[in-house]
Amino acid sequence: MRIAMTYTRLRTEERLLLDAFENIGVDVTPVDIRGVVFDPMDQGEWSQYDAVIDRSLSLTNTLNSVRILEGYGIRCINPLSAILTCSDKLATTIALSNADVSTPRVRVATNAKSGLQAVEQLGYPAVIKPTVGSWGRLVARMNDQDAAEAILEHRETLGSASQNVFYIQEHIDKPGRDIRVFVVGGQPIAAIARSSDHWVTNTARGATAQGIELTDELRDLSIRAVMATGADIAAVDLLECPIQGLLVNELNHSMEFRNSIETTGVNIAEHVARHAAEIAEIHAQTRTQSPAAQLVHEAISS
Amino acid sequence: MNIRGFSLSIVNFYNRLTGNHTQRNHIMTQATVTAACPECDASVGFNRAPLNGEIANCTDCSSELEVVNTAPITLELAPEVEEDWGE
Ligand SMILES: Nc1ncnc2c1ncn2[C@@H]1O[C@H](COP(=O)(O)OP(=O)(O)OP(=O)(O)O)[C@@H](O)[C@H]1O
Ligand SMILES: [Zn+2]
Repeated sequence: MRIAMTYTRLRTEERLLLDAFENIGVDVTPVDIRGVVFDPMDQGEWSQYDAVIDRSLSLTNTLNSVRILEGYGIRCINPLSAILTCSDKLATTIALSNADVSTPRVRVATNAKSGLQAVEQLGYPAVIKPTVGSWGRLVARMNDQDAAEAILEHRETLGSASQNVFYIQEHIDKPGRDIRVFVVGGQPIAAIARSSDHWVTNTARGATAQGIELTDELRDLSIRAVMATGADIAAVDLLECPIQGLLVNELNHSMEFRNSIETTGVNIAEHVARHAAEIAEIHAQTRTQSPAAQLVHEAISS
Repeated sequence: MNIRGFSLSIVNFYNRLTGNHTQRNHIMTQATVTAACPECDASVGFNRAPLNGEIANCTDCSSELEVVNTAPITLELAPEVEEDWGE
């Protein structure tokens, strides 16, 4: 059984994953996809892999490569459909709400004028975010009408066409932290709280992470959130609302975890590697079968 | 800058003053491969052969570096974060 790991930059996470595969005796090939030329009609050397785990830092590269690889019939981790749901906050909101998973209220508008109405429906403060984005980039809180008008107008004037979606969320008055649950193969394996004096609590923005207990409520909510997206592996970010309780804010399909191994005592990389190997093993056994039969086989085996 | 980076910088500074490299080598016993930092020319160590795209930090000048060639190992300043990068 063979696995490829596609990447664009080899960060600590990717190194830890390669080591984890090696430690469990799984043959893994790191592939820097910046150097690859794909033929969408011929899988060529890719046919040797039973699964591909995507760790590209660029969402564009991820979407295009996973699309091609799935076109070859290769099982990708995560599947394209899950990546599409997790990487777009609007798609996430819809998936969570259809699955009855508690998530902050959202309004979506197409321009600054209707954006202001959206904000007023939710009340102040409200939060505006790009639907596609990470590490807290361009996430802004609008505390009053003046701020809302200014931010909405700036976005309308300066944003590119792809940013012409006004995704506005109710602000959750959380206790100075958010919670992240790591879910691998449908199982929550670890949880951290990310704390900061700033209301944006991304570790990429200087928040500090601390391991916390995986309560039944956290388990239940994060399992259901991941099921709603179909991800094999994901980090579920939750906000503690003093009124509504735990809410799922978003999911990350290619999670960072370097600061979470020591703080939780859980070898996240090894869990990921083992799960990827299980998926690849199932596909190695059923390679001669049709893609539909493979999916059935996978469903039965899990 | 982390503690290890800080202490290494001091050692490097001391070594440059004294021409003493043994102490540095002692601290870097794990580093089996090295390459020059494109910013400050300090030697950046890897504890095994790096792969293309591997990220490293210069312990001298704190630059974030990326391996752009593996034979010989060549480092460049890591590019700025792009709009579609993330988790
Ligand atoms: N509605 C909200 N109410 C309160 N705080 C929020 C809200 N939305 C986001 N935040 C804070 O801002 C941070 C970044 O927001 P969010 O996670 O939605 O953006 P992101 O760019 O996708 O970040 P990442 O994917 O890296 O977690 C969250 O971790 C949280 O601390
Ligand atoms: Zn340097």
